[in-house]
Amino acid sequence: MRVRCATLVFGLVLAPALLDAATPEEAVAVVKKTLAAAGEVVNASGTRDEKLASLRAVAGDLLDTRAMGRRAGGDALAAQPPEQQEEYFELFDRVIVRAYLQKLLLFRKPRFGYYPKPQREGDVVIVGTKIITSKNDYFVDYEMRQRDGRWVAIDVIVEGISLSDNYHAQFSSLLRGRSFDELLDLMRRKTRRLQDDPA
Amino acid sequence: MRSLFTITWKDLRLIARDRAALLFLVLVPFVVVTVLAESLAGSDTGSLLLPVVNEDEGPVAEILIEALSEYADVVEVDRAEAEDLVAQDKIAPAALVVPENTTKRYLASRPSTLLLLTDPAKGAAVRAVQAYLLLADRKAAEIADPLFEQLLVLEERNLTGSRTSIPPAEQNVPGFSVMFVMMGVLFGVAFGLQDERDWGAITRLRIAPIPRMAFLGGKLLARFLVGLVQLVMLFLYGHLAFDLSLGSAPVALGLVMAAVVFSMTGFSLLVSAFARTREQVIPLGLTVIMIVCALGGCWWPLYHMPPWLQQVAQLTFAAWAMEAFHDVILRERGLLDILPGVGVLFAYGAVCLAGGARFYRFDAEGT
Repeated sequence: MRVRCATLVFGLVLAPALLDAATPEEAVAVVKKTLAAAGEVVNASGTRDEKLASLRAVAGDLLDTRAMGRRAGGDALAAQPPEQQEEYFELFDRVIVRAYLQKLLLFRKPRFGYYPKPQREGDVVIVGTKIITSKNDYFVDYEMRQRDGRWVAIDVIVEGISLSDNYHAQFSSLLRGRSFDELLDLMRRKTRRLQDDPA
Repeated sequence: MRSLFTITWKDLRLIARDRAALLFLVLVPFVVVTVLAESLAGSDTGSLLLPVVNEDEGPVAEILIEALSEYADVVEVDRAEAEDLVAQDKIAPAALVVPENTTKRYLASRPSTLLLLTDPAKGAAVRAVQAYLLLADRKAAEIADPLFEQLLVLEERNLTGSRTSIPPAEQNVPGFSVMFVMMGVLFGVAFGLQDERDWGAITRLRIAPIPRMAFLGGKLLARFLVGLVQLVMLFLYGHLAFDLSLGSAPVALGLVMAAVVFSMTGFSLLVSAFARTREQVIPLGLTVIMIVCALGGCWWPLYHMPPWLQQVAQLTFAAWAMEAFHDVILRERGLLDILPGVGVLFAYGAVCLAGGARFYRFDAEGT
């Protein structure tokens, strides 16, 4: 009897909650919330550096830069020892967040639009958004997946091109003539320069 | 000691007697210094006109335009107007075309090619625009890629000829050639007429059955021919020694040379008509030559000068001469294209000739 009651409670209360957490609409809500916060930062007064710092925190919650970095690094990354992989992930986080934010900061007063029905592909939900300007719409899709009970973006597809795939192409091209150490060195120098010259 | 002061006093009285020569002597440095200072004032004022064709209509173009506006006078126009401003009106050294979908391509991390439509005849100004673009690209940190991909690539296209760069000699050789030929023609005409007066030839000619205009015409034609030969030789020397291009239309170049020397000859007669003594010829002639050369773009390109002075420069034949040479040599234009400029030069010369003939005093009383 007690077991049946527990099952019933689980069935009526907990299961719908868990199922609800996994609905594509929640992924949309996460993206909406993040973009709304980003929009507030962009529209608020403040220097570009201050905005970048605030946006970094906002974007950090949304982007799963490890998953993106893994896709960008590909087989070459998998073949590296753990400490090099770790450094790569740290550097990639700075680079990819910067790249994403720069694209966002292009728009002085961004207005976001959303596609009502997100697409589901296995455990991935694609949330379609667009940045609306008076002359054009710019399409940005977020590949969302649940990680540790919350929705995160494992890739950002801007105007049909995946950020991760784009970096993968750049890394592959670079690694054809150079070593992984040299790639890391390049990333170190670039991120150092971004720190010195945040604008 | 007393004789020294007496001679000094006598010479001062002689100098003071020729008021016009004295005036030129005092005035020349002031006038020339003022003109030179004003002419060069424009080079640092950032007054370059830069038409931008915004086919993108997105934030990347907006950011570029905003950054460029700090260095140049940016105007947004359509492609046809931009090409006219560079190639036809020749008031802009270059125009920038930000192609459609530049923002979309930037967002997708795909490179876009910005097109710089140039008039290499405005060499230094084109290089300034290229520098502005580099500065703008650097300043517009929003459009800088954080890693290593270059997302905005610049392609240069010459709207006015086949070359994308012009060696400095191709601006300097025509300029200095015009100046030296002008010196030869002006001083030749002025001193030649003075000599005729001094030798009493004019008095004798008044008795002889030779019309005044034939006398003047003969002297001027001789100077015209000498000037033309001198100009041709200077250009040939420039071609051989400095690889100066002679354009693709030799007939057009010949016509321009003839028109330039004709306007010079007419102008020389006009100036000579106002120089009544030999003492007046040198200061007046030098003042006129320096001002005309500085304003007319013989020493530096016209676009280095402030806009208002560029307008004033249109009153000098040198500005028209330099423009006509640039059209033929740098912009590789043909006969039909240069006819309007050549027409202005001939008309300029004709008006000066008429004015010179009107004001020139054949009698010796003016001496």
